[in-house]
Amino acid sequence: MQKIPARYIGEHSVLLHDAIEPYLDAQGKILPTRTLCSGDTLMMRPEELLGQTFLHGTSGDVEYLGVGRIVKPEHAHLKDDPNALLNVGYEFHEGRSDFAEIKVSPAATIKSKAKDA
Amino acid sequence: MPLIIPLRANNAYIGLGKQSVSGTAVAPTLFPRWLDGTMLQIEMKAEDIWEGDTTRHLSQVIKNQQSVSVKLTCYPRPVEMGFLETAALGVGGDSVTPATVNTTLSASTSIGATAITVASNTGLSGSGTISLVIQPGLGTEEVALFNIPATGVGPYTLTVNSGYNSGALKTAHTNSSVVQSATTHTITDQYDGNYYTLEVGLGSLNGGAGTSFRVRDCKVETIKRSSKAGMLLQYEVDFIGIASTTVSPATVTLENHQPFYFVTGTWTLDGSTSGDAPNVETFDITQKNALDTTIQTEQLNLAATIFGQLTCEVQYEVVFQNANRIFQTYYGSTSGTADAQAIGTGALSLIFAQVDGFHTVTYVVPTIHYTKIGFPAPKADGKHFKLAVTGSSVSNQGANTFVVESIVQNTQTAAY
Repeated sequence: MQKIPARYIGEHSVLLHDAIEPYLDAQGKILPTRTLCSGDTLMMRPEELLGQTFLHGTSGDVEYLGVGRIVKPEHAHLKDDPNALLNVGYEFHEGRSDFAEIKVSPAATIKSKAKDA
Repeated sequence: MPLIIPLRANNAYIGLGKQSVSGTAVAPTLFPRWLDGTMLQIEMKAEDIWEGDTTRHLSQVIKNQQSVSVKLTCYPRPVEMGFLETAALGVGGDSVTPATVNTTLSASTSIGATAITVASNTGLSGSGTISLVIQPGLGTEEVALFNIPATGVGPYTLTVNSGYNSGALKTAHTNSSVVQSATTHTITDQYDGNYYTLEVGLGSLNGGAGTSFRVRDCKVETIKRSSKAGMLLQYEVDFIGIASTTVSPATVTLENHQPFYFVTGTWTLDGSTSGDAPNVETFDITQKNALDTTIQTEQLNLAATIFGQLTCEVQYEVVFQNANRIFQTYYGSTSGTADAQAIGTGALSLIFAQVDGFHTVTYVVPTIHYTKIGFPAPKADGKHFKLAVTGSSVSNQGANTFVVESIVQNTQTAAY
C-alpha cells in the first residue's frame, strides 16, 4: 500500500504500536525506535494524513471518492456550502491533526529517482 | 477441511479525535490502551411489519434508526485524561492556566547532573520543591524534582532534590532545552458537549482481515471514574455516535506517560482529611449526560445529539469504624439519634498525584446530598465491616456553577 511522508507535530512523544511491518521514516529508512517525537518523520497512509471523502447515495450505497476533500464536478457549484454538500450525501474526513504532510517537490522526486537509478 | 484464519481478540485498537464541526469526521489522534469491556456496537432499531395479507406471516422488518455505541475502558494517562474529561464535561469546559515556569536550559547537562541552570527564575521563587519537565515531548523528556528558590543572578541554578533519583538527573539534556512546570486544565461541566470521532479496529492491525470502524459525531453518554485499593485509576466512558463507516486501520500511537495509582490519592471528605477520608477502599464518580437520542429527521441516522440533564453520583466504600455517616444521612447530623428531615450534606475533593509530582488529577464535587448508606453487613467470615456511601452532586439550589470539576495537570499546553 502506498504511503507518503509525514512529520509528527504532536506536543507529546508517543509510542508506535508493535507492528509486524517496520516503520519507515520519510527517507524510507527503518525507524530505530518505536518512540516518535515532535519533528520525527514517518511514512503514513495518505488518507490518514490528508483525510478522505465518501458520498452516500439515497439508496444507502456509499461511494469512496478518494483521499482529501473531493467534490464531484456535478456538485462543484456547492463546494463552498458545507451544509448543501452534507445534504447531498458528502461525508468528509479530516486527516490527523498531529501529523503534517511533507510535500516533496517534483524536482526532488526526479533527483531522487535519478539517484536511485 | 477448509482453512480458517482466526483473528486474535487483542488485535484491536480504539482511537479518538475531536471534531471541529458536526458531520465531518477526523482521523483519531489519541489511542488509549484499552481494557476488557471496550467495545463497539451498531445500534439498530427495527420494527416488524405485519400486514393484512390473509397469512400468518411476518411481512418484513424495517429499520427505524441506526446509531453507534462505543464503550472505552482504560487506565488513562495524563494527556488522555484531560481529553476524556473535556469530552465528558463539554464544550469550552477546559480553562487553561499556562505553566508558571517556562524557561530554557542555559547549558547542557549530563546524566547524573545534580543541578541545572536556567535562563529565567520566573515561578522559581519561594521555598520548597517544584516538579519540572525538561524537554517535554522529546525522547529525552524527564520530569524531575528541584529545590527552590533558584539561586544566582542569571542564569539561575536549580539543584535536583534528593528525593528524585538520589538528587541526580537520569538523562542528558542539550543547551536551550525547554524547562516547564505543569499546565493546568480546569474542566467543568458545560451546557453541551463537543462532537468526537471514534475509531475501533477489530482484527485489522498487522494485515489482519478484520475491519476498522470509524464513528463520527460521538458524544459522551456516561463516564465512570473509579478505582480501588491497590489498583489504578480506571475510566469507563460510553459514547453514542451518529454514523459509522469503515476505514483503513490507523497508525496507533500510545501516550508515553504513566497511569495514576489509587495509593497516590488524597481525600478530603466533607471538608475533612480525617474521619472516613483516609479509609476509602473503593470509589466511583459516575456522571451521566443523558444524551437526547431522539433527534431524527429525514434520515436513518440521528440528525444531532445534545446533552440532557446532568447527574453525577459519588459512591465510595470505607472501612466501618463508627456510625457517623449513617447518622448524618438518616438522622440529620453526625450526632443525630432519630429520623430527621434534613438531608445529609457533604463535599468531595480527591487528588491523585503521580510519583513525579508533576501529573495530577483532582476531582471536585462541591455539594453532595447523601442518598443512601449501605449498612455494614454482618458476616460469619470474621472479616471487617464495610460501609458504602452514595450521594448525588447538586448545584445547591443554583449556588454552585458546576456539579463536577476535574483539574488535570500535565504537559499539554493547548486547551482540549
